[in-house]
Amino acid sequence: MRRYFVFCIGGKKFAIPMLEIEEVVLPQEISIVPEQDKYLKGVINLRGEIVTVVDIKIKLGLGDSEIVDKKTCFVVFKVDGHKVAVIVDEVEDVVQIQETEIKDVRDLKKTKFVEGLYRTNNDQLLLIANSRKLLEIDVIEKLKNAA
Amino acid sequence: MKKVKISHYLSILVTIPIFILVGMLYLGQTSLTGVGSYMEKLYRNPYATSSSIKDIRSGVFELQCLNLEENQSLKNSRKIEEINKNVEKSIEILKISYLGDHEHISALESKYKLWINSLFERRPSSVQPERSNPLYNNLLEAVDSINMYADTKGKEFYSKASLYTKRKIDVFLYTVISSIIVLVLASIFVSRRLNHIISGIMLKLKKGGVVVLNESNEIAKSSKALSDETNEAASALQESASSMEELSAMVKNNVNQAHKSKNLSEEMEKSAKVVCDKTSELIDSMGKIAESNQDIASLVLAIEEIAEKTKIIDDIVFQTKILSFNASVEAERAGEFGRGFSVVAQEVSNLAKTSGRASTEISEIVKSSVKNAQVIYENNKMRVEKGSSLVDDTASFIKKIEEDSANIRLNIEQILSASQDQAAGISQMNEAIGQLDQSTQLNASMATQSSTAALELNQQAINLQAMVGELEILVNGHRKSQDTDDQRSFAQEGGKVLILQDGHSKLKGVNGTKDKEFRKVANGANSWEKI
Repeated sequence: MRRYFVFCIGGKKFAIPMLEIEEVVLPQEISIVPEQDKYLKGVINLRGEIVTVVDIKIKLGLGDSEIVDKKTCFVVFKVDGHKVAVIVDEVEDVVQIQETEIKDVRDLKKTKFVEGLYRTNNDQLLLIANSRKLLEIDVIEKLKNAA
Repeated sequence: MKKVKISHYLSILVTIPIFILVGMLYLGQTSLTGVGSYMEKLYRNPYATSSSIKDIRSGVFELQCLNLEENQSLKNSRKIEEINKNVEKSIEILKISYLGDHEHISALESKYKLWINSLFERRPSSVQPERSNPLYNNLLEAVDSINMYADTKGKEFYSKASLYTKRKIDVFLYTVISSIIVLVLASIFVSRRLNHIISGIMLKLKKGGVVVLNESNEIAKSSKALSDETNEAASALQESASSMEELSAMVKNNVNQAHKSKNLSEEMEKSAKVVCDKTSELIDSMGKIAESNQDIASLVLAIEEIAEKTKIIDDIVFQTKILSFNASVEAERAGEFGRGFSVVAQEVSNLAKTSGRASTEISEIVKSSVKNAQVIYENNKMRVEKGSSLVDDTASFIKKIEEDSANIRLNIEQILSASQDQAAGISQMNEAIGQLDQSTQLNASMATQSSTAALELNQQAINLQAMVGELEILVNGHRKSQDTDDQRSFAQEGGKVLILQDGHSKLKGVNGTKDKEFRKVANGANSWEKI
């Protein structure tokens, strides 16, 4: 049994293991870094630390995120020692999932971010995501350097 | 032609005899005066002389006789005295009347005195024949000579008077003859002039009579036509009068209706005023409703404030949720040590969720309330605005209705007044038509009278022509034309008779008959020849 953090992006519910999450912060002002990919929104200053903000929605092809929604918040992950803030539409819940009940979908499609599917008791479908797939490390490095 | 009045001619005819008469009277008077003076002279002188001589001679003769008879009776001495006195008186008269030498009278007187004295002296012895007495003879001679003179003088006077009378008679005769000649000439002249004038007048009278005949016929026809027309007019007037009465009834009805309309319009005006007042109240009420709506708006604001406050709760819930997530993350990281904390974090998260749901519900309720309240406010606002606009429109319409009803009342009053005037006018017209009717009937009777008068005139014209004919006979001794009967009969048939300049008659036909011109060819009724 592992605890998963459930959040919502573009109407889809994603679940990520709790240990991969650094913290959840309220939306902040993003410093735009020019000449970058569109899904790289910019960087924020998180208690003196520069954190790259990624719009997963664009990367997943689910449209553009807007931070005007009051439910919007930044979920900060730590990937290989680098903190990345992902804009999520809403943070839902913390759930416990039996890993054996996760259906592996890595073979079905060339998915990068979504690794499996889990059906909850109230018949909701959770997409089990891999935070490492969020961003390529070199891009993160580059961003960091640029910032 | 010089216009001379007939009285001038008659005056001439009267004046000439008067002048003649006056001249004759003057001549007669002067003749008589001249003859009278001769006769008076004859009477006063030769006649008186002769008479005195006769008295003297008879006295002398009587005295001579008495003288011869003296001897027989002296009682006649008184008579002698008386005779002597008479003789002396006659001698005195002789003195006055004698025209010859007065010495002859003195000689006679002395001779008489001598003789008479001789008589008284010789009375006792004077009885002798007288012829023997020379004194007596001388006396007689003297007497005779005086008598002779008187006689001669008398003859002279007589011859003078005769001559004078003869001369006067000659003058008188000449005057009379010349006067008669002048009178006859004047009479002939005047009679010819009068004849001429009367003939002219007669011709004119004749023409006039014909004209009167024609015109009287025309007048008779016209009068008949007038009478017919007047009768038609009278009947038309009666129809008009009945129409006028109907009209009058209609106008009276109009007046009544106008009265009713006036009352109704007054009531309508009052009602409009009441409605106007009520509308003002309604406008006030609408204002109050609008104010109430504003209260709703402020209520909406209050609810919106609640919504704002709910958002704060939401924020708190959100932040609490994030905090609980972070707490869960920290608890997860703490591993086994973080289990209890994880449960707490879970509970906090659950509370936050509950709070969030409650807040969401509240928020939804508030949103819904706000929405409803806004909808209500907007609807109310719209309705109030619409209502206000409707009320304003209604008020303006009612104001208009009030003004219009006032105008209607004024108009109806004017209609009423006009209808009353109309009724009065129609009444006057009724009276006028009545008078006109009477006048027309009078006209009809007058037309009838006129017709009768025209017939009478016609008869008078015929009579006039007859009289002209008589006058013609009187003036000319015969009738020049006997066409009046034909003319009369023609005229009575409706034709026109025209007297032409040459004395011919022209009979102008009627009813399509041709004009006829006739010439007199003989006397009598059928004595016309068509020209």
